[in-house]
Amino acid sequence: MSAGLRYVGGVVPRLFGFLPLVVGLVVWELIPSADDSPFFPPPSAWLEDLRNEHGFGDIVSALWATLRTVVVGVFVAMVVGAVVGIAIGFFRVVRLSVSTTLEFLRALPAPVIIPIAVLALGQTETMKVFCVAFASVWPVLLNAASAASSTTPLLIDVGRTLQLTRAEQVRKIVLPSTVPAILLGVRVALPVAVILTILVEMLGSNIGIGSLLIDAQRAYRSADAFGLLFVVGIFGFALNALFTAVGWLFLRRWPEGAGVG
Amino acid sequence: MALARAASGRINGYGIATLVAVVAIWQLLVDAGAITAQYIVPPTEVVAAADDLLASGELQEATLHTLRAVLIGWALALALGLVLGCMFGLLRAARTYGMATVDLLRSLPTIALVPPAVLVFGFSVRMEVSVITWAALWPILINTAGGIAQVPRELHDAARTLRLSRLRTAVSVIVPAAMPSIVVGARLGMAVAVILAIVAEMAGNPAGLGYGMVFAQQAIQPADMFAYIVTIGLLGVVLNAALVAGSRLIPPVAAAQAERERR
Repeated sequence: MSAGLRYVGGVVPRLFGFLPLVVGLVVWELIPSADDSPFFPPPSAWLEDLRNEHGFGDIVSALWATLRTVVVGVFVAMVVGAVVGIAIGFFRVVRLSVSTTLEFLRALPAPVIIPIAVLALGQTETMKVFCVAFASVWPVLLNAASAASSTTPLLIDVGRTLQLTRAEQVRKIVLPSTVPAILLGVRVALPVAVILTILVEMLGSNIGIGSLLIDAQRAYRSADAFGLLFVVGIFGFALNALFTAVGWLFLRRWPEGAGVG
Repeated sequence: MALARAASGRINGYGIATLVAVVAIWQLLVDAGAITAQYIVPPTEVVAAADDLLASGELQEATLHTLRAVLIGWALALALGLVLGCMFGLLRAARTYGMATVDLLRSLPTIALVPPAVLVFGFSVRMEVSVITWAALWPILINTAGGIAQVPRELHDAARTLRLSRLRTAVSVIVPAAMPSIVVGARLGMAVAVILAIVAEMAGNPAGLGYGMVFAQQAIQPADMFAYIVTIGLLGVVLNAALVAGSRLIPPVAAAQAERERR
């Protein structure tokens, strides 16, 4: 999917690509009736409402709370996903034993974990992190498993020749060769983690950008809701861009063809 | 996808044994009093709760509601995604002047759309459908455009040698060649559609499986809650399986499948 995207996106001057968005927003702003529409408030009203309702500091602290949950949740998912994934990929019996259960868990829409977690853990930060980690663990786990099971056989043979123990084989050969796949999994998991975090915040939390959004809905402040949507959009976009940059910096020095590209 | 390979094909005895064992251990632990957490109910109680919900018709009604929202939203996303995806895949100008907008819009966390959608459409199926369509559109669009962009050069050349018109080339060469990728997009879109239907019902429209689940949680009825959760899981599995089976009927997909199995 991402390969196709890169191909489609190509080397076109990126800025031209924002044209439909800009035109859309300008038209929305200029439609005469937009000014007093309770449903489709014009973009200028969004920013005004955002300023009136929250102030800059509130939004920054809400985004900070959301970011913290996302990052901690994804980190937990990365560690658990990598460990379990490698075990599944490297040991055939483990793979056969857990695959049916995992296929069902993976197919289960992630948000269903929230009510279970709320009952078991209450409205706590631990509950939020657990939900986010549960939702984002699958892409990491599946990528790690697939990469670990397709580690170049030659490398495994080298390990045997050097008489490494099983544990050393995993640490020195399998783990390094799965890192690119794990990072790719995290990249896929990141948008899911943002969605889950905001949803958890919407359902009965009083911090984070999700709780601001649901408050705006309950108070029928539609300009505010659209404004917050705008803020969340920038947040998601920036988070993706940041992680892509970090991943690139990290993998730049990785040997060619070490993993599954 | 080593996992999928292990799971498909012949019946995986280890896998089914583990699943059965997990459920049995769960039941035994509760029976033996090892798990005393008030909210972890044994599987037998979940089955009983599902039976009650079925008898009262609540579960069927909720399932139908969610299923309808998913199918309408997904079908709209499929139609829109195919048209826009073909446009982006076939026309260079569309890519230059639109791809960045697509990238920006699709990275918008869809959940944040629920509150504005509730304000615009009210607590209704239309609100659910609008959110589902938006979310399911992007994977379908991206995979259609990507699949078209990756059609091999030789096919374009062959079409030119046969002096096919541009429209004819698109309809009978390019789109069929991109079909496997389009099907992948449709499947991803379906998974997203189910998730968004549940989310929209949890945080917005009070109806369907998502609402039933959250309502059971708030009423502290864990057995009902687990019954809804299992139903949601089965809905996802069944829809995906139906889509996979359906896509095998499309000739180019069946051909690609046969190719892969021959290797």
